[in-house]
Amino acid sequence: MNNQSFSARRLVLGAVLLLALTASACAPVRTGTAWADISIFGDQQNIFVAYNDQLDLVDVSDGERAVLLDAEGNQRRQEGELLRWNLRDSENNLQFFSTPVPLDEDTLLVADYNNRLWRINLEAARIDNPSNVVLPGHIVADVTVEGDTVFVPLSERNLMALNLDDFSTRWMFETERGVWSKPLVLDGVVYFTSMDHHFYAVDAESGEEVWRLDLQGASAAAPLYDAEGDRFFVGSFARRLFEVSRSGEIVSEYETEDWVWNTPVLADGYLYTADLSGYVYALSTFDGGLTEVWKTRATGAGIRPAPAVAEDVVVVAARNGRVVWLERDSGATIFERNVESEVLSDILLIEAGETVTEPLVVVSTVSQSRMLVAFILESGEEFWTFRR
Amino acid sequence: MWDLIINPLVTVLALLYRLFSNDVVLAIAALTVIIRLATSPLLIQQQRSTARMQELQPKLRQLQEKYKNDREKLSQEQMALYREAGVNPFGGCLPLLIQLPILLALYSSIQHALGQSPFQLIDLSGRLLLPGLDTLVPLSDTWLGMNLTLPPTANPVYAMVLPLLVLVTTWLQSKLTLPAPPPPSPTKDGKPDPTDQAASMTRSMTTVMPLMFGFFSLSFSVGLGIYFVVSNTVGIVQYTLMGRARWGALFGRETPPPAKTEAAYTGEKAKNVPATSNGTVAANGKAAGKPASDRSKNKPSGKAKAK
Repeated sequence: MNNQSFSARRLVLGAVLLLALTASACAPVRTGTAWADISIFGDQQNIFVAYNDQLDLVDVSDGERAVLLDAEGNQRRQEGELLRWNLRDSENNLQFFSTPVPLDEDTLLVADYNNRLWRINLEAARIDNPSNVVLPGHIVADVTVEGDTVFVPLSERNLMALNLDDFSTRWMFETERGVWSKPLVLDGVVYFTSMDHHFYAVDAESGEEVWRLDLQGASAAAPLYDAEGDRFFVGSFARRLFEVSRSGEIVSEYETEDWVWNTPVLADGYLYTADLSGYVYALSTFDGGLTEVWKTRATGAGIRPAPAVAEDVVVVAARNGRVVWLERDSGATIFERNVESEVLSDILLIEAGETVTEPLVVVSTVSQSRMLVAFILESGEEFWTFRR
Repeated sequence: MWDLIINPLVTVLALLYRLFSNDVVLAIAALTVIIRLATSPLLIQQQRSTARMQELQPKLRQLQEKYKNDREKLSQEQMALYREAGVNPFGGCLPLLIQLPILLALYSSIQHALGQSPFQLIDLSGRLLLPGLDTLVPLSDTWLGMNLTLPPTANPVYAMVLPLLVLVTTWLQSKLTLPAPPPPSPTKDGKPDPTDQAASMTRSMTTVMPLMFGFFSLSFSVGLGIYFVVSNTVGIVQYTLMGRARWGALFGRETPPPAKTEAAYTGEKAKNVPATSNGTVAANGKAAGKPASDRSKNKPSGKAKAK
């Protein structure tokens, strides 16, 4: 082949590759899996951040990774540097979208997106046991430990019950689509929602179905159990919030403007939730139904996490990065802050105590540089930022 | 900008899904047919533009020869030629480029609608433009035992047939629909010019495109692979109905246009120019059996002649 012909071929090949690369870069589909799962841990109210390839424990007092302590409670150092709580294991390709569960004082159980469960030594922030059990699906939701059983929701389909000691399968309950929410165990029954539109009750011991309820749409959030009223509240993508009895019947329902993708919050008999059009709802649960107290569009963007409900205020965080403080009585906006990145993770409320003198609101963004942002609840002043 | 394309596509996909009793593959196939029909005018325009560009090839070669030492002048003359002939040199590429965002949007729509991950599904919210479609979400992700959201490598082994089908149908479509390359331009001594770029580019396209799309369907979701297969098949049918599919080329029975000698391009009488040895001249019915010099007389370039 002579040079000219060769260069023509190279030109075509180059153009096609360039086109393909541009196409891949422009494709408006996110390549990530999910957002960070954050949770409060222990009396210190430190915060676990499970996101992508790392698991961090963040000190709530300063927004830095918590310092590792030895058996005597002294700070651990290596070559003069403080050792901090961070778990990253590229050898096992660990991916975290599920918060760790304390098994005892020294051990955590964590679900890895890539089909495995691991025990972690809390003091050393290292894997305690190599896990050889590979589960038949990915994990994007929290697992639940009850007695000697761990209930694992799989993101493609099915809920599994495993023996805690060796992760062997006790039973597997088949669903048509994935389980993206944490199972709830009450009196020997596992309650969970599925993307296949159903709310399930399954016997925790045998894995037999007790009942199933059609929620008319997918549900990606755990149900809320109200012990006082012995009932559940659960939202769905059918733009509805349901009040469900323990026997699996719909007691009442409330129509929302968009999908509800959070577990509602119940405070003093009032139910608070938000939807993906940015509406926030306060509903009364007193009179045998869900009665609207107020409804407000807090921001122009959708709201995934449930509102954080404090004594006088309700705080919501939206996909446009706005964090809005609302009056709890009326839903009127008090003030708002901008974290400049999409918020999808749940909001945490940190109580005043030994570690912090004032209550905090902590939000998590999808940006590594604003992984966690803590605000003083009262004033909205930014307290610290945790970045990776 | 993307929302303007993706949102209607996702909505139509959901409607078709409901129409076909929750069969997601039928919905994807139907949506593909709709998109192919909707972009037909672009296809026709592209075909016309390519044909016109091919007609100009002899004159372009002549200009290249004439101004081979003066690139600036060559560029000016080429643009003048395009202007004179009323041809946009990018006319063949633009329709393709316009179709690219539609392809990407369709890919996004399928990914969003199948809801493989929380990120993809949350991005679907607000895209369904008609009420009542939320209850369909997420669309069924299983077909013939394959998970449509996963690549063939993460599915049962028979899913590997899909990239192969994509490769074959893409190759078939390229072979049938890419315009016949003009015969190799002969050099002054009448022999075919092995440096012919147009033929080389056509060969490259029919090789690179199937490999590229085969690789895409191996790496991306099975749903996208199904889209490629349906799209290629519909494209072949479309070209056949338009009478532009070169089935003859597939079976090696096509009669390409006659080769033009240097003399034909320059308008001079070609004397003692032998017929090309690859049979392209003889294959032309009108020219068969005639000496090359006669053929060059029959088909001179009008412009070249005027000069």
